[in-house]
Parts: sequence; structure tokens; C-alpha cells
Amino acid sequence: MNETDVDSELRRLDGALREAAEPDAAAVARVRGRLLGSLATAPPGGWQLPPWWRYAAAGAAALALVLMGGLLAIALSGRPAGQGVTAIVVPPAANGQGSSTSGASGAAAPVAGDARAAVAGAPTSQAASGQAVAGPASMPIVGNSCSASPTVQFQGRGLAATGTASVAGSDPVGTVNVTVQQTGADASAAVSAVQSKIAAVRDALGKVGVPPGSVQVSYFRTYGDVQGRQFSAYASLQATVTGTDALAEATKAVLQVAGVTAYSTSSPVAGQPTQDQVQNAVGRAAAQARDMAGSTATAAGVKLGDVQSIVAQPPVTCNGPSGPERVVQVTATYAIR
Amino acid sequence: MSAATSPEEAFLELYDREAPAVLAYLRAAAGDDAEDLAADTFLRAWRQWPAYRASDRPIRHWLIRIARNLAIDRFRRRGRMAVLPLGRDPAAGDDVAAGVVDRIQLLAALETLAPEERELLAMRAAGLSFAEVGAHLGKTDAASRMAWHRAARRLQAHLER
Repeated sequence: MNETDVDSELRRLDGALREAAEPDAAAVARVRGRLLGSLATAPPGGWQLPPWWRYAAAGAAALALVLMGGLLAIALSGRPAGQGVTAIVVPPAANGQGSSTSGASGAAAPVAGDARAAVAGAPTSQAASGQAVAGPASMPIVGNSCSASPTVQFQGRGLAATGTASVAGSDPVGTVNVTVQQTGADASAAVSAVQSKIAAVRDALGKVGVPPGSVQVSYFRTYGDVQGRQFSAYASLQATVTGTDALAEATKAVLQVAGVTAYSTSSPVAGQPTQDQVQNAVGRAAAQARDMAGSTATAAGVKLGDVQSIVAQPPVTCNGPSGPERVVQVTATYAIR
Repeated sequence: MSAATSPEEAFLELYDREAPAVLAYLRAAAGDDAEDLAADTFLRAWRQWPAYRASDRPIRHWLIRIARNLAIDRFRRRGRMAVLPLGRDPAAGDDVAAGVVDRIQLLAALETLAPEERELLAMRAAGLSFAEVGAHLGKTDAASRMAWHRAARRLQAHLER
């Protein structure tokens, strides 16, 4: 029995099923758009965690928390003077992206100064610059859960407290993804038609205020079936737009161009916060660290001395209760008297 | 056809060639999850791309195997097969509406089959030969053909009800 031995009725069903399952060009383009974004961040042959890693990580984290909780309890019940590290509660860092290192380091210096003032109890006095922190407007990689802090660590004769605060503001940055495809018996006609549509999309975006520099053709290719005399040209464009309203306007404008497929994505944390917003958050995180240190010291029966060090982490993104958010983290270490 | 000059371009050429078959398989086997699973399939394939290029395995067989494993993982987590309503491009005209309804009914009828029967038909929908279907399911060519007959008759009976 070979491929054609199936009876004609079932063969028709086989054909109908193939036709029913055949994806449309828009579906292929949508998946392609998602894939394009991933290829840039996932190198071929890149190491990948096995699917069961979450269970192992959760188990290890639970075990670590139990052990550290025990250590903290022992430390608080009778901490001998002069001993090294007596108890540590390690914060699962509000880790996320190490992205935009240039922007992050640019923000670090004023951040540390601000934190010192807040930890010492003084209001922040740094003038607002109002400038956006430099950095690419790419979609951020959102890391772990935000629910990591505040935490307190006794470290020898010192006490380190970590506070966090979310960075308010920053307009969401979105991307309008557009795909254009044309098929015909003539390759050059297909290419010309796609180019015309690209020009129409650019015009439509320009009319709603999207600058030409924000629109990029990320992919253009032609392929053909010489025997069937069927040629296709395919292109995809991305336009980066800041602000929810502007994104909606741009998407609407693109969808009015005949023969294109478009969808948009946006992230509330894709835009870069201003230095003001970061400093405000650092002040709140530092104040939280100070409060935590004070109350923990009181509970442990010790008194806080001078501030020994302050470490302010640049903003990172993490998963908060209502979606991705950007947080800062400040760790202040006090001497114990 | 343009010559591929980088791994990304080569891989995207592979995507353009094979995505319709992989999506067809996933639309029939996984319904609404098809696009998610297709994106995951090609991303996983991209990560394994250097190793694959060094081998001589048939490309479609490799991709369908990845897609199948991902679909099985997802269904196992949910404890059930996915629900199926699926439509074409909503911008399509009324003249294709009747065809869309037929397709939806046909694909929805797959829901009534046992998972292994549905999967077998999905592989055929992706254009796999009986020998290739057999290779995926650990059956001989003849056995996969017989199983396909049974599944197709069951589907047909459901449609005639």
C-alpha cells in the first residue's frame, strides 16, 4: 500500500485537514516577528536551563531560607561580641537586567550621594536635573520577583540593612511591528510592490509624528518557485514609539495602509526613568533601610553607630504584583555600639 | 533566492521554508497554542542550530519532534488537550467566511479524537509521509497508515453526525 492507496473519501479528508491547518501568512509573520526579537538575545548553541530548573531552584531557595532563618534566630537570641558573621539573611537580589550599563553607571554617582543623605536622616537636596538617564530604549529583560527586601544582616560588629523602592514614572515605550508581503508571477514587480507599501507605512507613521529615525526595516527578502513561476517579497519593519497614546495612533495609522499586517507591543518599564525619578526612589529605599536597621537593632538589644558604607544599586526590573516594575536597592551598613 | 551569509539569515530561511508545516502541525495538534509553541519551537531549534547543522537529520523531522515535545510538555502541565477555536485573518472578506467555518468545524472535530489519533492526523496535516509519521510515533510505515485510517474514519464519522 502506498501514499495513494487510501480510499478517495479519506484522501479528500486528508486534503481538507491539511488545508484547514495551513497557517495564513499573518500567523507565519507574527511568529517570525517574535522569533526575530529572540534571535538577537539568544545566541545559537547558547546554554539553556533544563525545564525542571524551577523546581530545583525553589527547593534550594526554601532550604536556604530555613537554614538562614535558623541562623538569624540563633544570632538574635544571643550574639557574642567580637565574633565574625553571626547571622545573615541573604536577599534574593531584585535581579533583572544588567542592561544599559552606560546609563546605569551614569546614574550611580548621584544615587550614592542621595542615599547617604537619606540614611543619615537628612532630606535630599540635590537639584533635579530632569534629564533622562541615557540608555537604549530596548525592551527590558524582566528578572526575578520584586518581593526580596527589606532585609537585615548582622555582619560582625556591623549591621547591614537593605531597602528597596520602585522607580515611578517613565513613559512606556512600544514597538509597532509591521509585515508586508507580496506574491506574483514577476519577482521585480513583487519587490516593487513591497517597497511601495514600505514607503506608504513610513508616510503614515510620519503623519502621526513618528520620526523617520525610529522606523527601521529589519528584514527584507525575496524568494521564488522558479518552476511554478511564483515569486514572493517579504519585509518587516519596526517603529519605536514612546507613550501609550502615540503607540495607539501609530498602530492605527499603519493599519490603514492596505495590504500590511501589524501589531504592537509595549512595556511599562521599557522607557528610561529620569535622574529625578531614580533619586527619589533611592531616597525612599535608603529611608526604608534606615528604619529597618533601627527597628532590628532595637529588637536585638544593640545600638546603631555611624554609617560605615552605603551601596546603591542602579535600577533593575523585576516582576511586581501588578507586572514588571523598575526598582532600586540601597544597602546601608552601620557600626554597632 | 538570496544566499544566506550569516547564521541568522540561514536560520530565517529555514523558518520561511518550514514554518508553514510546523504551524500546520501545531494548529491541528494544539489549537490556540499553535503560535506560542511555534515560536518556542524555532527558538529552541535556533539554540540547537550549530549541533543540527553538523548532523544530517531531515530538517522537518527535527522541527516536528521539537514541536511535539513542547506540545506534550504544555498539555501535561495543563492536564488536558487545548481547546481549538481558530480562525483565519479577521480582515479576510466574507467570501471566505464559509470556508473558515468548515475549517473550524473540521479542526474542532479533532477534539473528539484520542490524543494519539489527533496527533497522527496533525502530522499528516503538516505534510509528513506515513513513513515519517511512523518514525515519530515509533510505528512501522504500515502500522502508522492503519492507525491513520482508523483515526480518519473516526473523524469522518463525527463530521457526518
